[in-house]
Amino acid sequence: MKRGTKLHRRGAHAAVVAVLAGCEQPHPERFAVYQRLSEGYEIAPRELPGLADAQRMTGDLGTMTSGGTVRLSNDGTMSYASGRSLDLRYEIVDGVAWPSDEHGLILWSFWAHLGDVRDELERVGQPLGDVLPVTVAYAPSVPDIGIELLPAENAAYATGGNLFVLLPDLFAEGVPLAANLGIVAHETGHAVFHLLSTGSADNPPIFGDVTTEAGMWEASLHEGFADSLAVLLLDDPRFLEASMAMPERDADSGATISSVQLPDSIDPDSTLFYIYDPYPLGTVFASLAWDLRLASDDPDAVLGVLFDAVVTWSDTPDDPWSYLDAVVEGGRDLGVDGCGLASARFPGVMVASCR
Amino acid sequence: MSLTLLLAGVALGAELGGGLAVVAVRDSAGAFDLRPAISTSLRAVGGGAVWGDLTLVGALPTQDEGIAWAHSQAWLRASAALGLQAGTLPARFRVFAGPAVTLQRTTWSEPQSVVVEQVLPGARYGLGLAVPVGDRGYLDGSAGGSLRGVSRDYELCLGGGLSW
Repeated sequence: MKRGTKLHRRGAHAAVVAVLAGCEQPHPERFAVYQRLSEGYEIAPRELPGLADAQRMTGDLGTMTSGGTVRLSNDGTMSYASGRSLDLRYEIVDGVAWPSDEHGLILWSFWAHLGDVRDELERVGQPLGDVLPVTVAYAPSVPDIGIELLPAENAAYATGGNLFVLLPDLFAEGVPLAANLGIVAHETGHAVFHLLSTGSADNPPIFGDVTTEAGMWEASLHEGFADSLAVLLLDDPRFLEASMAMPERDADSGATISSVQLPDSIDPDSTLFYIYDPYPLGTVFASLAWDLRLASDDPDAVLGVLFDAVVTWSDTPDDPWSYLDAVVEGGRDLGVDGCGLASARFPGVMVASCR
Repeated sequence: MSLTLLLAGVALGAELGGGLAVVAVRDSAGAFDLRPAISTSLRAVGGGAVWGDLTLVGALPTQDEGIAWAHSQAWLRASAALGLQAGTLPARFRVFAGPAVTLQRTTWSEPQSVVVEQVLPGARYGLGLAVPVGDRGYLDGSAGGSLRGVSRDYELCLGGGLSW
């Protein structure tokens, strides 16, 4: 994977920027951000640990930039030609930073949520490793139609490029995706899946090419794991709801593989420009994770089962069902009838450990 | 002529103009937000080729809202420029550049009442075309950019005025 980031322009350029900026803004203690409540979200002040520069958005978690170009490489990974430094302007009122426009709310919220997700993952024994510090591209241009970034899907993690991509929402209805804690957990879930399956954030994905059957399976396992991580960390099967109405993505929606098209049944050569939708199958996997959580009453333990399942699948990636088998076995270790839950979500699938 | 001398000392003429403009204000995301604006200029013309002006460009206030927030934003730029103009025809081409200061004021009404005001130094530059109309009038247009801290905005102005 060729990494195209050129984020830090130091030396003379930095000096010019400092002069043009007039004066540095003081670093605030707290920031106005979207915070998740038991019902919905509110904008309220909080600290942003690890944020060293609130104007340019750099710190322990990584660096945010605006603009630039995200491109799709031949091996299925995304590379990023970096944009410009952010220039968030704000005013500190009663110790709280308020931005000069709504983008500041979104970017500060993303930082806050990413820090929270990192802390939660460390708590459950799955640190983010070399995912951090990460590059976050805000509002880049995405000229390649092969990149599945649709208007309703404008937050992404680029596997192999170790890059979060955030696009401003087209509509101001709902919590902006990048400010939704569940979305941030979902995208971080992709980073965790990639880290567990390949060993490093910088490695290319095992398959990557979603025009192949194996690549389609990988994509669905990615989405299923990412949804599972969000559902379990937030303990909420409907984390998307605050941002968009997509009930078919809810982990308590009753999704089964009977209603989805499996990669095995797709002939990529039969249809020109066929684009596989990895989400329906992914939702079935996330629903099974939610079933396990309800049955075990231990979301942390279920997360541990899923982490192990990713590693198991990465050892035998040509067998996509190895992930399901590992989840069922892990569920059994938790004292849950994993076979029964799996047979409900995956009717007709013979899980090896249930034979 | 007394007004002219008061304005620029050695000036041989003066112009007072105004017009409509479109400004592309760069937001925090790096995207440009197109806004209608009004401009007004006071220009001292010296010797036919050199001129200087004071210009105000103000964007009409915006009102935006999303979930849990609402704000309005005003944008005003004051600049002083030195310019050159040339042309053998009645129409004159102009280039100009000079220091500027921009006020951007965001008034949050939700979730609480907060005013975020930024006064940022920078520069303004551009090029334009002026066409005389009658004995004292003129029409002009200009396109250019301006710096606001490290951010760059763009503006397109069309208007006219009177000259002495």
